[in-house]
Amino acid sequence: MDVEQEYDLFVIGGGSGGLACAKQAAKLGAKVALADFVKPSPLGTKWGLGGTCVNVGCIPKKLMHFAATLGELRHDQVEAGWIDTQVDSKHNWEKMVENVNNHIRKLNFGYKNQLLKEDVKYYNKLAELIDANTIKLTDNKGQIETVRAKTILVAVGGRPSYPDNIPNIQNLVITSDDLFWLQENPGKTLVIGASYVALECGGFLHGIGNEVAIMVRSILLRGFDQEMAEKIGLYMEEKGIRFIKGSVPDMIEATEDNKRKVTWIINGQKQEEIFDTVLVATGRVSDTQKLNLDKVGVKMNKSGKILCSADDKTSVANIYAIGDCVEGRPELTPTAIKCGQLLANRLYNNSTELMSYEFVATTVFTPLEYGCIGYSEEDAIKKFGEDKVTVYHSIFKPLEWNYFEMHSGESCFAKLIVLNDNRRVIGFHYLGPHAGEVTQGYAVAIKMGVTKEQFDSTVGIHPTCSEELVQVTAVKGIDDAQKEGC
Amino acid sequence: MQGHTLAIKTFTDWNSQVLSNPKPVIVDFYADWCGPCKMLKPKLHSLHEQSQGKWELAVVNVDIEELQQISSKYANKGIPAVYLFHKGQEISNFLGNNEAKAKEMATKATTL
Repeated sequence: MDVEQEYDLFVIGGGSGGLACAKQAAKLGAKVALADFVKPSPLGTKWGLGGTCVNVGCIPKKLMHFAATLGELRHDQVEAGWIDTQVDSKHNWEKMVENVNNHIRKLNFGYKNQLLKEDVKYYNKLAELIDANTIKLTDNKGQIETVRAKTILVAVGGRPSYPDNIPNIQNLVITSDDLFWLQENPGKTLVIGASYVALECGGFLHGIGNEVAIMVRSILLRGFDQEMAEKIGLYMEEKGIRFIKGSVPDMIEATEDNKRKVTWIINGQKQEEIFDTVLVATGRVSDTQKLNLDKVGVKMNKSGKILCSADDKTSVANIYAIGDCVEGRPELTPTAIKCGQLLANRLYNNSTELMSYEFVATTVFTPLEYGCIGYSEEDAIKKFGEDKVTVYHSIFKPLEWNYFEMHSGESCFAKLIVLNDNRRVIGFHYLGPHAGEVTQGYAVAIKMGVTKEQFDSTVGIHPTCSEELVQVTAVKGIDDAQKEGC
Repeated sequence: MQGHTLAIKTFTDWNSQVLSNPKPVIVDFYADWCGPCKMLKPKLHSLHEQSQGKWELAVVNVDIEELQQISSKYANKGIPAVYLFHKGQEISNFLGNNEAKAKEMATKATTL
């Protein structure tokens, strides 16, 4: 084995975390290399540099969600006076997907440029550890190269997982890896899963005019505030998305005309239905299997997630890991990015700052969007005790929803969880339009330890949905969330 | 009918057909997936056809692996990125589907 190159830092994985760490480390003077290689999905889908978020996650998801919301706005347009808007016009999937894919390729290009600009050596090869300092790189033609590095960062993220009870399932269903690159509209779709991936994808597919059913085993959005999760589900049902509750598929088969026959059991009764496409979104699994981590001594949990201390160190002294492939980390792009940058600062700039995962704001881009920061109601009660927290809640209706009469007056909802002792707002929950934009600013306040009284003393911007959060006075358990009058 | 376009595929092509070209060369950095690039291309072709052989038109597909170093040097602010080279020197450049700037560059190229 001819080992030619030696790096200060070798990053395995060119996603949110890997790229951020590599660029920052290089800025600080380290000699850095990064290997990114996309193993095609079982159906053959592949993509370029940038990781899950850029290629098969956040970016295409948000663009397609936006496309769906634009369709809904047609009704509002009519009532707002626009002439010739066709509320029933069809959606052109090919056009949307082409534009989305082109944008992603532009981002892939941009990331490649950034690496070149920062002097990070980019290998489009599949990496595997030979020992704690040696990496084997295999390209798509099978050619092998070996490099050495003082420090290694594993940032390989994850891939969608499949239920294990259905034979040949990987060839019969699509996952989020495939959805955003499908060259044809998936048609009548069954989404299996209750994760935000399932609900977001099912949501926008329905929004662009597809018939959608979502099959969920039990609750929606496990881990999220359940009152909010139920409201999200209710809104989707009211929009016409069918939920098949309390089930998992028993069998999936290809029909003669290449549709999918799905069988499931409800209350002991067998049900079956034909769908054009089945989209599985039941979870993701860490992509660490073929890295040879075991042999090198990097400890992982049963599901393949790497065990790290708060400073991102694995059980091997010079090997670090960040992002989705690490146990206990939120599976989010911004946390992976920040974590990667802070790690580079600690490694190459004598910083001691560790990543904090407290009060990280997120948003679920379901048909009615949900932004949240901090504790769910359940978690707050579990941690502090029911008598130690006060929950404020409010049902509201966006002003703009008053053009089109079919908009619900009861779907939008805001909730604050307040700790009685110090009146700190420890949970923020907003269900309504533009949830991401509404929630972001409040994350700053919550990180600073804002109190309910400080919220209340803040003058709202009128007329907005966001002002609800600085005006909510109704206490759950005492007052109705619905306001009377103006 | 003049002016076939020089499709730059290798490092050698770049050196010989752009940098070492005795005539001025207008180089168009583009990608197949780039909308504005598609819109600019025919405009550059048309200007080239009218140029009476005074300058050459070269195109570089930024997705070509071997040309990564060159592409990211010239196209790192976006594409389409169009450069006017003469005798190995960069004379001017513009970014985006800009017909006015393309005309300006073509005029400049004929005077070199």
